Amino acid sequence: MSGDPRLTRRAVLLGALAFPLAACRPHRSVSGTTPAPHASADADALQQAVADEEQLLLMLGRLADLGDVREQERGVHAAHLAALQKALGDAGATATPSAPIDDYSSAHKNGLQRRFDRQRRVSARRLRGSALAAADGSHAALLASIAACHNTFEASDGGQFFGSPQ
Amino acid sequence: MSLVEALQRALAIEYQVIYGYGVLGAHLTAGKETNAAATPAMALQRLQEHQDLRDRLAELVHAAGRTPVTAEPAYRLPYPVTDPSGARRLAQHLENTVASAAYAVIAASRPDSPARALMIGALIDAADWQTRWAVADFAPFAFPFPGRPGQPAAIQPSTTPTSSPS
Repeated sequence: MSGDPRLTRRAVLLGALAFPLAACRPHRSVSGTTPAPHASADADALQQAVADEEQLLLMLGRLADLGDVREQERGVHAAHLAALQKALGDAGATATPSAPIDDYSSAHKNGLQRRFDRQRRVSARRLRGSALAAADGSHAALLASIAACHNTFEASDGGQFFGSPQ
Repeated sequence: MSLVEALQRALAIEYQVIYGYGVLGAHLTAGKETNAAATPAMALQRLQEHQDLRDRLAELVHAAGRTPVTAEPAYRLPYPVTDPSGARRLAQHLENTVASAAYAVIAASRPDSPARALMIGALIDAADWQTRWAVADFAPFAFPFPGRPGQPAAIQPSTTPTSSPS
């Protein structure tokens, strides 16, 4: 009893198509650590937030040299930086070196205070926009939370009121 | 937690917060203490903002095809409020609870969705107001991550209110 020759040809054709298609399909890594599909979409926003926190910390360091010590705020931004770097790592990306950061070594206190306030305001606005657009909900919540924190410093006279972070 | 569950939880918390503001507003001018940084007018302004947030949350739940949760007749406060200081501390507690609910909605929401946009604003506002009340209570602090899980719990429904809203 012989089979239908058309079926045989169809099977061969399908097999020939399926093999290269299977080869093109993205493969999960052996360790199972392939980033979630949303993760890479948020990497740029997380990277930008990292760069902003680094900039703020650098400015706070120079302000401390000039006698404007804001230890509490420094601790808060350091916590932001660590959380963002972790999120970036969990997203399967690594923090790339930031664009060259301004050198504040010759900055004067008043001018630097104004620049710091402006930088914090800009970063809060950027974080809010990034939170709205983030593909991953956990990234969105983290970015929104940091935006809220930056905003509270902004709204509380530059954070001068703050005591110990909790 | 699904988005609808998070929205319903946030709505239930708004009912509690509105009840709580009714209580605390009545105590902000009690006794001899006066504090220009924490007035009944501020409490009233914030109460109206929470009422608006409640309505918008209910609309989002409706839009998702679900029936919004309803308010309880009364709620048990986390502690008795008898003076302006207690009122300010309750306000901080309430705003912290709102921030937590907003964080959860953001985490469960889709990019650029009305729910996410609404609750990013709610998180930022709650953190701002929590700070305002803390500063007015001469107990400033900085939360690095407003709303992030691990904050104090919400006040609970009760059939026997510990204090009557005004």
